[in-house]
Amino acid sequence: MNGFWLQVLFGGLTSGSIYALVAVGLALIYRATRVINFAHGEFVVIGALTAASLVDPIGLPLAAAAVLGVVAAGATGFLFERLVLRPMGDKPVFVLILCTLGCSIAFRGAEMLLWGKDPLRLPSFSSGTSWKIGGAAILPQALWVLGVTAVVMMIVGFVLQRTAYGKAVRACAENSTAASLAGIDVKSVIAWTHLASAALGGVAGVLISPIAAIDFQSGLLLAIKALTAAIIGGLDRMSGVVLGGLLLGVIEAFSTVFISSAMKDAFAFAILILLLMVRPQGLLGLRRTQ
Amino acid sequence: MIKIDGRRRSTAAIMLSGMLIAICASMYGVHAQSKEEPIKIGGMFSTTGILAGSGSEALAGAQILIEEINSAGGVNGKPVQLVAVDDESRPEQGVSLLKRLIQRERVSAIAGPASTVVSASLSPILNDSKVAAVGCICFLGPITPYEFSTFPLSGIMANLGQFATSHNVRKIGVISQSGALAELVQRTQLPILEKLGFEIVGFEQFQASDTDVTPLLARLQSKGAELIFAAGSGAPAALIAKNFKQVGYPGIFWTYGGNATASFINLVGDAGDIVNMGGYKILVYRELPNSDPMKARLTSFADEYLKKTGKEPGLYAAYGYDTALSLVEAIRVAGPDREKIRDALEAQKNLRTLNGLINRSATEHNGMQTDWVKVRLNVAEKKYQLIQ
Repeated sequence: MNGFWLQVLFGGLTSGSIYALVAVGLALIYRATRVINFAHGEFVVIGALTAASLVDPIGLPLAAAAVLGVVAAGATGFLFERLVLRPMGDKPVFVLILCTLGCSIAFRGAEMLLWGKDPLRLPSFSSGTSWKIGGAAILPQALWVLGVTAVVMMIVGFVLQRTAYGKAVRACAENSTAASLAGIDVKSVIAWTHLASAALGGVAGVLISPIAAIDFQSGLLLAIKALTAAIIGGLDRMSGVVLGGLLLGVIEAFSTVFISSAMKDAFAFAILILLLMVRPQGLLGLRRTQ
Repeated sequence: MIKIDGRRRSTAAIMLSGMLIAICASMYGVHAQSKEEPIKIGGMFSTTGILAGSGSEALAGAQILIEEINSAGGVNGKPVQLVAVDDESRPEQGVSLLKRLIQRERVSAIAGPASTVVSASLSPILNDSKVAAVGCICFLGPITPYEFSTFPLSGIMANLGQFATSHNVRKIGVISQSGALAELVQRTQLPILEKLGFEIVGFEQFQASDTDVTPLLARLQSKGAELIFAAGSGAPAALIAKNFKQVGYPGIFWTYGGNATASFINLVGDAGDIVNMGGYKILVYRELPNSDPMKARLTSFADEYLKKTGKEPGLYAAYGYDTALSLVEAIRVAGPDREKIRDALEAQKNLRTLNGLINRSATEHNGMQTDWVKVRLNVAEKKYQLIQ
């Protein structure tokens, strides 16, 4: 019964890759501002629904629609920072987090008015037929998500660790007053980070749209799952975030099959709590000494 | 002292009020008041939330019937007003809206809900306040005095039974979305299948927000299920169909006719060619032979629906129409009195509706006998197809 085990694993990896890709954008904002952006899921939704509606009623080719979906998500994220978060000034992080939660609800209402209540989906990027590996099947689209997640993880990790911009981002996170004294334009760094994070959300939306039925309500749930994944893996490292996503997906798949679907979330959160007791910084997170 | 820049504050105020407006607008549609003293019917349908697809369809169907009745002079000379509320697919929201309909709007009866998830929590209130509701739902428990339905529960399983037998299937595997629906399937539908002589080899559950159910399919395959009964509605059922095709499942796929919506065709994509479903005439009204007695009526309803919503009617559109039809006919007999309407509903015999014939009694509050046909999804043409 090898095919069976492998199928459960593939199912878990498919869900997990979605969590991982969404979590990368979430972790990026956290790295720059220490804010958990609950509205991040809405950028995923905006990316997916923009692209899907451009393909179906309007008839744009898939690639163009996908790019425009990412652009729409990035632009929304940029405006979100400019119009909502920046006017809040240096309010405590806790206030900003609540604000993102509120905005995610407002975004949800706007999405419903724009795209309606039915889920929309993009066609698969390559052929829709699945690949058989060892008696189990996996969709090429899931491999797309996994592949892009890996690439995005490496690029984001590289930019944060090795470039001047990345250093500026980390400096802002560490101490924004000190960063601005050191000549870093904190406002513009944060604005660009929001743009990049929302665009990554858009990328996630466009990629997962052929697998997941995305509608106006999907955003918050995606953000919460991604947050769980990121905490499991450790919010401080992109590799940790991705590992956390995949692990969460696989844990869920196995607990669905061997315990019960109703207990799936409970099981995932129990593991999260256990992990936080043993390793509060997450699996690959960096231990803080302060 | 913290100084707040005036311009910033006004921007924030504008945005806050914008958000509030958006939230309020999403909660209630504003309904106009009629000049005459109309007979009020409450319309309890989920037009947002996970049940929005079927709920919106049912509401539009009910509205079409009310418009037809009013343009023909109303019931017994009085116009009928449908006071529609949106329970947001949340039972607790349904409860408070139902109280509002009964106490403040003083409706004579309720059309809806379109989902068992909501109806289960409305049941005690309906019976306490003695207001009849005609929904398109399955009953979870024993029949209560004030609940009626246009949903063919035993008929659906009989339809699946016929289909399975014609494909020599003996072992059925079931996948359902966890929560009220799974409970309903397990309690009311599977016993009927077992009584018909089928073996239920597995009953698996997943959550409506899941993105992959291949592990569950693998488990059912290992137990020898020849037919997968996807007991889910909307996006979850489409997900099962997609995964079924993805793993190349060696068997047959069947799901509820209620999933036959334009949105389902879009969601299921090219996996749709494996989809068999419960066969209702409304899904294939164009292909019905001209000799079919329901063809003309279904076609005119579909035209009306298309004009109103811009979409082809699905099964729930007809269910919604039938609920309102059943109520209006009862009011024609009984007038606006709540108790008399209930008695008239119970006494309804040979009522011709879009989906079939209704015969009710004190022990049968459903009574819908559906006119079954065989239906399959034709992916290439993006439509549902009649199989002879």
